[in-house]
Amino acid sequence: MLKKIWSFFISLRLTIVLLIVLSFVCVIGTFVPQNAAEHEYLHRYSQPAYDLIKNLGLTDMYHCWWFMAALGLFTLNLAACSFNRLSRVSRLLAPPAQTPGEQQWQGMGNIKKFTIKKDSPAMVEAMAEAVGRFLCKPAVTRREGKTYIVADKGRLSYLGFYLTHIGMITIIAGVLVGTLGFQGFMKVDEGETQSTVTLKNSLVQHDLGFALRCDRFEVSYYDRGGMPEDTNEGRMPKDYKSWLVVVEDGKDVIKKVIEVNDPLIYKGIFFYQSSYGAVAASAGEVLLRIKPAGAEKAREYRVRQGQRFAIEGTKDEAVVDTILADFAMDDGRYFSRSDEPNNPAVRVIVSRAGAELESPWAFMKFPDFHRKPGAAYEVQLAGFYPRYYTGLQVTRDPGVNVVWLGCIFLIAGICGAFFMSHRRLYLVLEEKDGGLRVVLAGSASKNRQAFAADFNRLFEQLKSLEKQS
Amino acid sequence: MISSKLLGITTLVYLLCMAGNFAYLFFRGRKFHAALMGLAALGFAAHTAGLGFRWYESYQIGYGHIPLANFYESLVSLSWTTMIIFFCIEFRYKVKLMGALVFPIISLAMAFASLSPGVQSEITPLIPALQSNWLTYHVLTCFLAYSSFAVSFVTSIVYLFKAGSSERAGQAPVKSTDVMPSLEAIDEIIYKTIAIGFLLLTVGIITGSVWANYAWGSYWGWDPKETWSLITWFIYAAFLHARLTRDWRGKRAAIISIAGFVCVLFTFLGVNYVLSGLHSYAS
Repeated sequence: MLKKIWSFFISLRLTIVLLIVLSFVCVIGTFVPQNAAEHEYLHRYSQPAYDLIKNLGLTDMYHCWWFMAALGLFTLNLAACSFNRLSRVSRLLAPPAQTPGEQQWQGMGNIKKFTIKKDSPAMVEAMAEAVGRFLCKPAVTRREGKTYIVADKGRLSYLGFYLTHIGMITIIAGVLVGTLGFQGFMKVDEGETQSTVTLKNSLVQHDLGFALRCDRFEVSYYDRGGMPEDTNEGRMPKDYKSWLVVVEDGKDVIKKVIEVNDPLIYKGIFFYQSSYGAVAASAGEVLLRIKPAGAEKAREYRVRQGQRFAIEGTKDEAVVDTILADFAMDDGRYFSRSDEPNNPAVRVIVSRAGAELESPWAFMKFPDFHRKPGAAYEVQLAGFYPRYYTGLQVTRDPGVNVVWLGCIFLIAGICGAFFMSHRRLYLVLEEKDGGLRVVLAGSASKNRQAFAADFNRLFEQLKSLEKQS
Repeated sequence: MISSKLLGITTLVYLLCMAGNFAYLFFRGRKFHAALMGLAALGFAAHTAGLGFRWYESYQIGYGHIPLANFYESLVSLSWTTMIIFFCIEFRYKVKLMGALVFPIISLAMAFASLSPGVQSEITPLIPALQSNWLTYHVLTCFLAYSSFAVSFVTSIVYLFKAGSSERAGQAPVKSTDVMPSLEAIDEIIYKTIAIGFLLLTVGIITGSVWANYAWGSYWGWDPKETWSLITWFIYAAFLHARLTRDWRGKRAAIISIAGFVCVLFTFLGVNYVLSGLHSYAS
């Protein structure tokens, strides 16, 4: 019974069936959207079809129990096959016999027998030299009137099989260790400090044990040859950058400007640039262009909401009363539809000698809209600088280096398994009637056709030694 | 721009190579073959120079990236890697049939890239997620793998045709000639190109994971393209296991090799058009 179970786990049929089954279910997983919202599924499928898909676990297939079970079986199969081959590998790795008997060279793929009429130490040396040129420096042993010339190369290629499979097992182990870590997300406003991460899936607040401050966030765009640069709409972003500072015990520990493809790493925790957005528009700054009626030139003022400022060249004062990123109006009440700068607008209150003079609205995208005739000032909204937050993906994966180790094993193993060959050469020389009886035998674990051609060339070369001496 | 002129010349030279290699099947001759290889080398030189210039020109525009950024560049680079694999197989196995198999694919890809209205040939900027040296390592190893599998695919088709005609001609196999190698030799090429492709695909998937871990914070995300590359890897792994331990050769092996290449095609093209995910940069 136990033997049956064991032979089930080490069978190649199981391997191939699992590879095909895993491929097939992975195909399903790429066609059924994973972890999408319910309405997205209902948009694609009917209610009963969705219920079926959901109950089968197909909406989160790569983490559902039966997929995990198949992967587990795959791992067991890998481990059992590797273990099963252990004894064979130690035998394969053993050096070849120094004085091979007949049954040893009989088993080789290529055998040639011939005789050479002259026998001399120089002849044996010449043969050893030829073998050395062909493969590698051979071991020469004399025993009971026979001379053995033995060479082999590439024994380690048998480890290829092993390394490949151990590499796979190591990667899976690394993935399991990785589940001890966490993945989450944090939003840090410009100028603010944060020490907690919202974990993925569970939405639990996780304390980092240190804090992160975002000094600045910036998005830059590619130049658009010839096209207007005053709006960022439709331009391709070039870089998202966050100026981050790790704060521990009230001190700044590390400063780093992160961008996509260049995360901040602190205490094994990775912080990736992942998203960004505007904090409520009222927290940012605006650029105003104010021209008194009848004046030649307008002057510019960069101000925050609530900041009082004098209008140059006059005795009047102004203050930005409201900043809206996405102006909208409903029933005479104005509000911001979103934090996106779709329709930035400001209301400026101008006062003269402590009394309100006028309170014009200015719209960035519609500079001439809502202008009252006879107003004392012409106010334009020339720039809108919302305060940004940076969205960081936060990951701690203690298994990631184990995964990389497994990957190195895997690559080395595949190189060994497919592109290295173990080649052996036996030359047995026996003195007879003043001449030499020669047995030449050789084998290769891979690429046998090419080896056979090389082997025949060596054979011709050895035979011709007789004429040369 | 110099690059587009050079790549245009490349396409013409490859089309000539294709016609020449077809003619070679009928006329033969050692000198003819040498001339064809010379022409192929010329085309490859223009191809390499064209890609090099395109790289240089992207810096002049201010984008500065290796020509692996959009579909046009993918097709041109994929043709380039296929040429490399073609030369390797040609020199290693001296199978003179190879040119007639490979050039139709390469010239088709090149012509499609430059003529199809759906393929934008302008140099486009690189979105932040792609701005990394890993782009080079990841895409080049994957493309070399795809090319290797493409060669195994056309060789498999030849195998099936030849095996079929051998069967029709009775038990005696069709004689191998200077141009048409023996069934065993074809089988060997299928196996070798798959082994090389498998190694390269493994390296390609791993470099992709290293990059993903650096850019997205996770080395594996079951993104459709990732998953399809894994499916391809599984299929070829099944092929290699069957071959190494059960000695599956010939027809059965050729059929798995063709199935594997269908997966490769889906990974390269299908995922971008049918499925969406992190790798769908086109949209």
